[in-house]
Amino acid sequence: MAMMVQEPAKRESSDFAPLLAVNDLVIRISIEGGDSVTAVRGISFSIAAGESLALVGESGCGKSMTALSLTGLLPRNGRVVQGTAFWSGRDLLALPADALRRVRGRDIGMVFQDPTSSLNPVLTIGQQLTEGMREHRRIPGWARLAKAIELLQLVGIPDPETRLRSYPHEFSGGQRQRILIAMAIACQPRLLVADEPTTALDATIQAQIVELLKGLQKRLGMAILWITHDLALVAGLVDRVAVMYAGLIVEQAPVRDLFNRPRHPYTLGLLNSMPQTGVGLQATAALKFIPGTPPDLRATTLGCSFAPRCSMVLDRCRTEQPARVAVAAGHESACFRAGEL
Amino acid sequence: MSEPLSRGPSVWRRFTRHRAAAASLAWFALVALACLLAPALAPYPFDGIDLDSVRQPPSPSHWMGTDDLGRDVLTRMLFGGRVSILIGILAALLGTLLGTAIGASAGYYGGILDGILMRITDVAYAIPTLPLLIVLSAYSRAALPSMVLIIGFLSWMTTARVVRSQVLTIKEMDYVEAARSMGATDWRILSRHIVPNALGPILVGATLGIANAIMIESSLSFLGLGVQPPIPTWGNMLMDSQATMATKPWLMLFPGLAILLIVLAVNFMGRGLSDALDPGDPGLERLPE
Repeated sequence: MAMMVQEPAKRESSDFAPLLAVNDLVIRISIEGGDSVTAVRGISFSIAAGESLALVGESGCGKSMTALSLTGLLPRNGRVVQGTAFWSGRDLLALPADALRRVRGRDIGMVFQDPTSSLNPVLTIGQQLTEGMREHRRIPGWARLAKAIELLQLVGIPDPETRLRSYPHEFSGGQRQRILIAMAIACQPRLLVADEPTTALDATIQAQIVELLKGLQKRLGMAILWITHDLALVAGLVDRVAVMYAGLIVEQAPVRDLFNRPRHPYTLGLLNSMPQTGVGLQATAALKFIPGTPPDLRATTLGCSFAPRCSMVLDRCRTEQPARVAVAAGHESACFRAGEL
Repeated sequence: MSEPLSRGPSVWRRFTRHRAAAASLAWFALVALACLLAPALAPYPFDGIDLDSVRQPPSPSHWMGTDDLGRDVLTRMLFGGRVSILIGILAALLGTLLGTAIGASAGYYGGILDGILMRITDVAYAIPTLPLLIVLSAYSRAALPSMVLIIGFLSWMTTARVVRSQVLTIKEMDYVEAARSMGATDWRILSRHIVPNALGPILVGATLGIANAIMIESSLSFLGLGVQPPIPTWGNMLMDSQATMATKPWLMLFPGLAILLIVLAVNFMGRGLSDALDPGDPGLERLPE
C-alpha cells in the first residue's frame, strides 16, 4: 500500500471514500422579533468509515446545530438553507422526513449531553434499549432482549439481566451515559454522533466514558463525530480535529498536527488557554485567555469573524474573509497569516 | 409482545402500598361485585311494588327501608349501582380517550392542527350542557349506550386541554429528542414517551370524569331524560328522595352515600395509580439515590 502513488493532498475527502461528506452547509436560526442568525455559515467536512473527527468550538459556534441538522433534528426555529450532506449516495439534507427517520438510530446513532434527562423516567432500561431495534430490525422479542443484555455487557453495566428491569433513576450518572451509548449503538450504526457526551459528568467518569467510546469504536468499526468544546479531551482520542468559530470551520487538521503546529490564531488561543497539568508542575503562569467575545451572529460581518479578537490581525482581515486553504498535508486553515504560524 | 420488561408488577406493588388507594380498590371491587350479582343477592325484585309497606325506615326485613311505592331500597341500590357505575366508567373512559387523543395530537403536532382542535374544544366547552342534553334526548332513546355516548362526548374538553399543556412540556424533554434520534416514529414517541409521562393528570381527570358522569346521569334522570323508571340508578333514587329529605332521610342517605363513597374511592385510586406509575417518585418506599 505504501508503494502507491500519493496524490498531493488537496482535500482530505479525495483520499478516501467518505462515509459522510458535508458540503457548504448553512443553517439559519430564527429568533424572536423575526430576526434570524446564521449559526452555521457554509462549512464542509467529511468523515471516513471508522474515522473519528472532533468538531471543536465554543458554545454557540454552531457545532451542535451542525450535528443535529445531519439527522433532521434541528429545533423548530432552525433551518438548513444551503448545502449537502452525502451519505451512501443520498443527500441527508434533502431526504423526506420518513426516510431520514429510518437513517436515525440505524445508520447514525446519537449520544447527547445530559444522560439524566435523556432517559425516559417511566420506562425501564430494557424497554428503552430495545426501542431502536423495534423500529429498525425485524427480530423477535427474545432476540431483542438477548441483544439488550449483550449491549449492557458491552458498555460495562454489571448484572445486565436484572438491570434491564431497572428504571433510569436507579443508575448513577456515568451508568446512565453508558446506557445511552448502548441505546445509540443498538442497531450498529456506522456513524456515532457524540454531542458533548461527557460534559455533565465528573472528571473521573469522563475519562471512563471516553475510554468506553474509544474501545467501542475499535470493536464495532464505526466512525465517531465528537462535538465538544474541550480540546484537551480530544487530544488522545480522535484522528482529526475541525475547529469551529462563529459558524465556520477555521482550521482542520490531523490531531497531532493541530496540537504541534496550530495554523490559526484562534486554535492557538484555544491551546494556550488549556490549563497545563502534570506532576511537579507549578501553577505559576496565569491561564491565558482569548480577549473579547465571539461576534454577534445577527450582524453580517465583513472579513474574518475572529479579526476583532485576533492578535495577528491585518487590515485585510477586516474586509476580506480568508478562504480555507491547505497549508500542509491534510491541514487546512482559514487565515491569511497561516504560513507565518 | 414481550412483556417481561413491563412495569406491571412493580406498579401493582407500589399501588397496594398506598393504603387509601388499596382500601378504595377493595371497596370499589366489593360494590361493583355486589351490584353485578344483584339478581342473585337482592332480597326483592327491583320493581316489586308493595303499597302496604311504603316509606318504611330501615328494619330487619328491609335493611335500607322502602321508598314511596314500598320498593326495597337495598334491592334498588344494588340494581341502581350497576347502571351508575357502568355509565360512570364507560363515559369517563370515552371522554378520557377522546380528550387524550385530541389534546395529544394538538400539543404534539402544533401549528394549524393545534389551532383547529383547540378551537373545536373551545366551542364544545361553550355549548351549554343541559339544553343540548334535552335536545339530544328528544332524538335518542334514553338507553345506556346513548347515555354513555352523550356524556362521553360532552366531557372530553378538560382532559384535552390538560393533556395538550402536558404534551407541550414533555415533547421538549431530552428523552423525546433521544427517542427521535433513535428513529422512533411519531406514534411511538407519543404512545411510549409522551402520554405515559402525562398519565398522572390523565388519570386524575379520568377519575373526576367517573364522578362527573355519575352526577350528569343523576341530573338527566331527574329531568326525566336519563335512565327511565322503573330501572333504578343511584342518581334517580337520590332525585326521587328530594321531596321527603327531611322526614324520610334514609331514602336520600343511602344513594347519596353510595355516590359519595364510590366517587371518593375512584379518586383515591386515581391518586394511588398516578403515584405508582411514576417510578421516580419514592412514594411510601424511600429509595436511596
